[in-house]
Amino acid sequence: MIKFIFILFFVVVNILTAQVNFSGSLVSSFGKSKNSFNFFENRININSDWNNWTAWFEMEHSNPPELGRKIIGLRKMRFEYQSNRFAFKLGNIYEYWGNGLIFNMLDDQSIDLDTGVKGALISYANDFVNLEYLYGKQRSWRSTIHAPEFDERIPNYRTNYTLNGAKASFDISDILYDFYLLDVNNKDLKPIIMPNENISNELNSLLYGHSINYSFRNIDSDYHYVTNVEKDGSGHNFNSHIFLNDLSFSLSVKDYFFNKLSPYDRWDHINNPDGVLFFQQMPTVNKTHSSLYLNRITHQTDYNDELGLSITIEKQNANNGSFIFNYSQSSRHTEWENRLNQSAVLEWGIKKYTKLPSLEWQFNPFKELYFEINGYYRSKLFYQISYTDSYDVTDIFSSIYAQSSHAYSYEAVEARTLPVLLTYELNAINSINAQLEYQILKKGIYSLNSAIQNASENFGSSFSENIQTNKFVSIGFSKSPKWSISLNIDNTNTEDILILEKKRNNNFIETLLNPVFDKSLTWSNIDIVLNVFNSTQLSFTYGSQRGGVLCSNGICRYVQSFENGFKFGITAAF
Amino acid sequence: MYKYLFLALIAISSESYSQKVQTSLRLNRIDGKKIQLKKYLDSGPILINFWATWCGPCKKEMIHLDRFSRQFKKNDFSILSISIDTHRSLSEVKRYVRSKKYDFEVFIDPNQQIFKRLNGNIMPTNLLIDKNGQVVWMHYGYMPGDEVVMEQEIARLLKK
Repeated sequence: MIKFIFILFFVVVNILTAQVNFSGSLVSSFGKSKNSFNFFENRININSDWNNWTAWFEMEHSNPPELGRKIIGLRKMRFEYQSNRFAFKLGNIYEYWGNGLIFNMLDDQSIDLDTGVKGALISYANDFVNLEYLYGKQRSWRSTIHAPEFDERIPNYRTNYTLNGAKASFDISDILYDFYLLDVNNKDLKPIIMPNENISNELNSLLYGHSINYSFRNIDSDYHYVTNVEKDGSGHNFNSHIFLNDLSFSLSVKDYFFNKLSPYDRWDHINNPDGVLFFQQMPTVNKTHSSLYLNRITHQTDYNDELGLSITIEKQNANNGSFIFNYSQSSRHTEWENRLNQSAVLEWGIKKYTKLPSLEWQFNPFKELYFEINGYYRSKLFYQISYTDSYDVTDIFSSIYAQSSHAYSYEAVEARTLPVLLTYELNAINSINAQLEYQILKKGIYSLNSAIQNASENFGSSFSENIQTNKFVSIGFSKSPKWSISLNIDNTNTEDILILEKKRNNNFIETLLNPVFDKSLTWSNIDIVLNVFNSTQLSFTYGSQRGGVLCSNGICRYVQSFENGFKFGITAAF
Repeated sequence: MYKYLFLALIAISSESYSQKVQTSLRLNRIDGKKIQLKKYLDSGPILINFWATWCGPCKKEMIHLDRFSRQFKKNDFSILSISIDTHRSLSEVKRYVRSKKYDFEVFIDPNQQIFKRLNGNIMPTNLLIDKNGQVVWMHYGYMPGDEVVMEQEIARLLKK
């Protein structure tokens, strides 16, 4: 209530003093489906500025939101002062230091990720030096199966960090050098309390790092390094690009080693908070895809223990087109094995280290080969055709070495994906769009016990069939600048055994398409977008959307399916 | 019900959109340098374009932005293209824009602070701003043909 009175007072005073500029935007969405994926989410951003001062407020009325916790009231606010030399920020702060290796504060509503801090930032800048000091507290929610009350939509565990850091940047001709120092206090509640245990973990981390950016003629390179002094962890990231006429060569390298966690504990950051900190959102060093099916099998980067590289070659063609080749490969630094301890109980231990990305399954390898050709044909037809071959060892369940045998089991995902995008311009304002995707996916558990005579490797599929074949067809028409309509069909031949058990609620489009696409394994919808005014867009979706992994900028989370319902959205600036 | 009516009213009010941009706003150029918006506005009107490497329509639109940048440069008109890719994919931004040899300058906004400050919500978002910092035209999204309207708006502003 006090916050609202304060904002109201601020707004009234601003209006009365006239010289103040106001603007804002609204994002509102409403959804209702037959599998109870219902939401009503509204956010209003208000920006105000007066001379060198600005104020930003974000209010939210979400009950429930599409993803995340219910919020009714003021969500974010920040006051800023900016002159030629000095800047000051107070409130909800979002900054990035060291290419994300120190911290990368994001507020991504599409996947409900918020790593911002509440605090203050002071900075001074001239032509040669930039100094910054930051103090703030971060309260971030995350969804995890390692804490009670896990829900696909509502995060169930909160991390608490207090950050105290300084940054100095120097601009020396073609070189930019940054130095960072960050002290972090982490006080988390333990999800499950054992008798005679403290209810919280308290950990201190001291991070320092450097960044060097170098730009000279056709070469552009940057290197970033961070080390956690108290935990003996470190991260390196290097990127380099060479540009030669119509050709460009890029190399990116990552080497993140903040904690040694067994395959069993690998994703349990809640009970193993010693490693990478939640706000260290570092580069993935993999290609970011916009394809629906490639997004669903995005490799999950293990920031505690992963090294890898990515090579890209791009050649520009005539008609604004290009040919792109990318190869990405990564793995863990460590191979783990199961050993018998003194009490004759199997436990995990490190067997081997590698200093280069390995392709052996014991190191959780990931590799991806990507080709793309795009351009315009006779200035009317835009095409983008790509092909991806990927392999990812996602989990290792056991690895027992005996004198002459090896018993193991691990999960791998192999996929070949062909996404095609076509746009044909009928005339200056009308166009037809098509998006076609085809994917062959093999996912399951490989196991072997070579102690058994004549044993061969077994494969148990995650699906009811050995190979999953996914087909996505989207056909649309758009009339610039007013409206567009599209029909989207997502079909498969088999679904994950756990998902198949859930009952489908087909809509009339799926029933209509049933002779061609099996309605129990097809999700289809119609999407209409209206640009009412230049800065007001309405959207309406009717139908179903298949559940799966949703990724945004390389960060992913699982989103449940939306069955036979409708979504309505307004986006406007005022 | 009343809440939704209120939201609809705000949406309709966007027809009379009249934002003024703070000229002391500091942008991060892709080479790491920080530059104030004032530097560009002192020369003439600007178009701010928000995009990302994962946004297909944005890339299609950039071909036209490059054409406008070359075409209207003589009128002291600048295009500032701001990528909202996070640092996870920032390396791809550098590669993409330098390979394409675009005429306009490219900036980064990985935490979407400038994007939110200028009321961006949908990719791409475009704002046409006059010399005084007044937003004269704003547009959400891109579909083939939108560049015709954009060109008309730029030409209209430059005639003033």
